[in-house]
Amino acid sequence: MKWPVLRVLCRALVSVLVVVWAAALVFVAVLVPVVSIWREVTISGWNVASVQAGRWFLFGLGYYAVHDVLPAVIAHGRTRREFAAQAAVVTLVVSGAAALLVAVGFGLEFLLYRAMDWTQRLGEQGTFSSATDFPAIVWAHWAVFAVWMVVGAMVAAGFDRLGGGGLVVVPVGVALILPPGLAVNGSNSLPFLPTLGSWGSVPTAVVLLLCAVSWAVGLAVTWSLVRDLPVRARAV
Amino acid sequence: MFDDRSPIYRQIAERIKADVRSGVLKADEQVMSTNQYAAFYRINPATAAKAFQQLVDEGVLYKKRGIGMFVSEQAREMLRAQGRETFFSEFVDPMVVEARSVGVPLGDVVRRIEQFENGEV
Amino acid sequence: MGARVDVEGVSVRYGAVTAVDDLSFSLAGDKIYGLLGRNGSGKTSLLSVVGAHRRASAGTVRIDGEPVFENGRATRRVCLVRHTGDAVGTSDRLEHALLQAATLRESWDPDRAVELMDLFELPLDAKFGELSLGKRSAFGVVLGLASRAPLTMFDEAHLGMDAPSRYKFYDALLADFAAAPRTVIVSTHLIEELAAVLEEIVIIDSGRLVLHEEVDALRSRGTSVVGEAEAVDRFVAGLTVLEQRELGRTKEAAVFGELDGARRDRARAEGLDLRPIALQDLFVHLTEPAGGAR
Repeated sequence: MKWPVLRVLCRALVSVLVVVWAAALVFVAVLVPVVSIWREVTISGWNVASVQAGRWFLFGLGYYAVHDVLPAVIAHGRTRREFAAQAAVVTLVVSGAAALLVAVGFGLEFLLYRAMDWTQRLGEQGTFSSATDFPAIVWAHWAVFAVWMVVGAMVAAGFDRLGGGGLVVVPVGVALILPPGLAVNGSNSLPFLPTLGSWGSVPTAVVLLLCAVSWAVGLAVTWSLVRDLPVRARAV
Repeated sequence: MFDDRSPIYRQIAERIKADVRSGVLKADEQVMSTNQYAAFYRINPATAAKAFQQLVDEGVLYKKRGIGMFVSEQAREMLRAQGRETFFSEFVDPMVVEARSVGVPLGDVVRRIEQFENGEV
Repeated sequence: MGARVDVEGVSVRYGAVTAVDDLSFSLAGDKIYGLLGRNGSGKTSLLSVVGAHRRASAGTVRIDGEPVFENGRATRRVCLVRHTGDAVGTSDRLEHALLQAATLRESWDPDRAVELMDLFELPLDAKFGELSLGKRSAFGVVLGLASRAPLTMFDEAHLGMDAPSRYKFYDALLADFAAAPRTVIVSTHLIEELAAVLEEIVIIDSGRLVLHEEVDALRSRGTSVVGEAEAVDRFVAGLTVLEQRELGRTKEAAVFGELDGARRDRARAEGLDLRPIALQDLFVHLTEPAGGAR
C-alpha cells in the first residue's frame, strides 16, 4: 500500500474533523437564534466559532499526530522520516478539508441569515469580506490552518523530545502564527489573547507567502525534534 | 511435566526409551513429530528435535523421509540389554548402601528377594 | 524467515544513568530467545534500541546486516511489543488499532489477528484504556504475532496475564513458530514457565552481558556441592563459585560449569553430595549483586 502513514493520519483526523464541524454547525445554529431573542443579530456567529476555535482545533490535530500517532507508526515498523514526509502532506490535506468545511459553513449561515433577515458581518476589511466569497475564504483558512497544525505538531514534538524544556518552542510557535494571524481578515486577534490589531488589507500573495514561510519553518523545527525522538514508555 | 534440573531433551529421550522398553511403543510404530511433541508438551521444537536426533543416533528410532520417525525393530531388545548392564550399579548397589545405613542385614534382603522368586509376595 | 540480530557495542544512557553498557552479542535467528534480567537490568532499553524505538547512545544494532535506526528496510522487519502498548492510544478501539496495524505493516496477517482476538476473548469494540492489564498484554500479543515480522519481540508481554492466558500465548507462539520460523525474543524476569519454550537465553545484568547460551545446556551447568566445609573448599578451588553458604561444619557451594566424570568421582570419594541447580535458582545466582567471583 502506498502512503500508509498518510492514510492512517487522514483516517484518524478527517473523521474527527467532520464530527467536530457538524457539532459546531449545530451549536451556531442553536446559539444565534437564542441570541436573537434579546438583541438584533449583526455579526456572523460562524465567523466567531470557526475562526477562533477552528485554529485551536487544527493545532490540536497537529499535536495529536505527533504525540499519539507517531509512536504507533514507529511501533509498526515505520521510520520517523516516513512519518515526517507524509505528515507534512497531511497538514495540507487536513487543513484544506477544514477550510472547505468552514466555507460550506459560511454558505449555510448565509442562507439562514438571509431567511431571517439578519446581518452577517464578518470583521475588518481584508482578505475576504463576504460570506459568499468562497475562493478567498478557502485559501485564507487553508493557509492559516496549515500553519496552526504544523505549530501544534511542533509543540508536541518539543514537549515529547525535551520534556519541560519543550516550553522553548512555545515562543517559536507564537512567532510563526502571528504574521498570518495579523495578515488575514476576520481574525485580527490571537484567539483567547488581547487584540493585537491588524495589518489591514494585505495582498493575497503576501498572505500566502507569509503562511508558506511559517509552515516551512515549523516543519523544519518539528523534524529537528522528531528525527531521533524515542518512543516513550507509556504509564500503565 | 519436565523438571528444571536436567536438560529437557534428555528427559524426553528417557521417556521415549522407557515407553519402548515397556512395550507402550512398539517396533515400527510412528512417534509424534517434533512439532506435535513441542506443541503437546509446550516446549521449544529445537529441544524436541534434539531428543529425537539423539534417539536416531542411538538406533532407537529411524527416519522415513517426508513421513516421520519410527521405533526401530531392535530398539526394545537393545534398551533392555543396556538396562541389564547398568542394573546392578544403578539399583542393587545403592540398595545395599541404603540397607547398611539403616541396619537391615543383607541376609534379610536376600530372603525378601527369594520370596519374590517363589511368588510368596 | 527469521531475521539475524547483531548488537554491536550498544550503550544507552539517560543523563548520568547508564542502562545498557557497551553490550555486544549476536542472534543467528529462526529461534525463540529469552532475554533475562532482573528489574532495571536494561532489558527494555536494549529492546527499544533493537526495535528502533530509541537511538543508541553509542554502538549499532543490525538486522540482517543493516543498521536498524531510521532504516525502513530494517524497521519493517522488526516488531517490538512493549506491555505498555505504544502502538495503541488509550481511547482507541481495538478494531481501529488493528486497522492501523494492517495499514502500516506490510507483513500483517489479518486472519491470524482475528483468530487471536477470539483466542484471548478480546472484544473488537472495546477501548484499549478500558481493558485490564492482562487483556492489554494479550492485545500486545495479538499485535506481535499477527505482525509476522521476521524479528518479533515481546517485552514483558505476559505481565498481568493469568495462567490460562499465558498458556494460550505460549501455545500460539509455538504454533506460529512451527508453521513459519521467525526470530522471537521474549523478555522476562520470570524464567520458570517460559524456559521450556525458549531455545537460547541471553542474560543481562546492569546493562552488561552475563551469558548467552542454549537453555537446555544451561540446565546441566549449575551444580550445588554439599559436604564438610574443608572438603567443599578443596573441591571447588579453581571452579566458578556463584554462592556459598555455611551451616555449622557443613558447607554448600553453587558452582557454574559442567563437571566431568573424573571430578564427579572425586566428589564421591570425598563424601560430597552433588545436586543439579534448578534454572530459576541458577538465574538468581548469576544476577545476584553480590554474585561472588564471576
